[in-house]
Amino acid sequence: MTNRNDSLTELGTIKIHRDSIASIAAIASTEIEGVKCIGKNFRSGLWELVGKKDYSAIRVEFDKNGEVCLEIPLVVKYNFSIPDVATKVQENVRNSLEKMTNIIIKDIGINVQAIEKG
Amino acid sequence: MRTLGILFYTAVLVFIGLLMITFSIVLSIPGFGLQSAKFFNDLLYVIQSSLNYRLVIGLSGVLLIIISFSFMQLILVRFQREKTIAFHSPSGDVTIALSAIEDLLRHFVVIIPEIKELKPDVIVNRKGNIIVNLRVVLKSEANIPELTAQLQEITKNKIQEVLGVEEQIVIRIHIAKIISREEKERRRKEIEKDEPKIPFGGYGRV
Repeated sequence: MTNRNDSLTELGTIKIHRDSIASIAAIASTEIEGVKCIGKNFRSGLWELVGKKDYSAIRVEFDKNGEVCLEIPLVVKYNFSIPDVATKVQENVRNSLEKMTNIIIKDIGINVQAIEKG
Repeated sequence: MRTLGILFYTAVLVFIGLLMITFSIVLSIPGFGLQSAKFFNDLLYVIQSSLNYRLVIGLSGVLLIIISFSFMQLILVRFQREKTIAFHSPSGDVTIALSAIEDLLRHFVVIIPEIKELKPDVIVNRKGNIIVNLRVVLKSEANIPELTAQLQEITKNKIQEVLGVEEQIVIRIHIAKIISREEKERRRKEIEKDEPKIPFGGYGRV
């Protein structure tokens, strides 16, 4: 398992770190109406206390074929249909990542952690 | 990877346990001569006099704390995964934490004015049915049969609407308390009594 996705061009290698992929996924997710914010884990909670953004709660894994699996924790706004929001997030994240990084997305898992008022 | 991690932490904890058991056995055998306070005095002196020993002990402490935190995280993630509802979509799986559904149900306090307090507990049984236990505190003016029927209907519709699930939903309501008007008045008066009086509070500026 690597920390980044490498692609070779005529001029050299382009390496995209998993944190960049997580950031793109986070931005694409929060663009969708009905998403309150990205869920947290222990590390991102600590960084937030210091006032820094950390998307380590988004799990990014590369398989042997260079395909990417993502798991995004979400906090959804009250009064929104979770399946609709989850599907829109999956589509937007897939489109954004394919547009920006050219990587192949295998799977985008959504984990709804909480529901809050918007 | 997760199984490997759990195995590693279990091995570390077993090792610490074995070390403590050995230590206690050695202490209880008189032949080793470790019962005396002098032995512990000497041990503490050696540790205190050498910087390396102190460093090793300090670092071991830090390592143990890190191991415990990672272990806690692993267990919590596993525990959380078990408490979810999952459905599949073409792009990947969607899991919803049961605590998220509880968050959703807590908002009913605002929707139904007769409800004073609501504590939801959502579980999923082995057949995949969603069981919602609602512990409710009501205001005295509420008509209980009507209100509970309304609450069950709203809960069921809301869960089906928000989660998009078609599974059977069982809603159990437990009315824990009914707050009477007199009790509300008494509480209000108690709060007012506790508030400090402002001198000349009744006078206004002209």
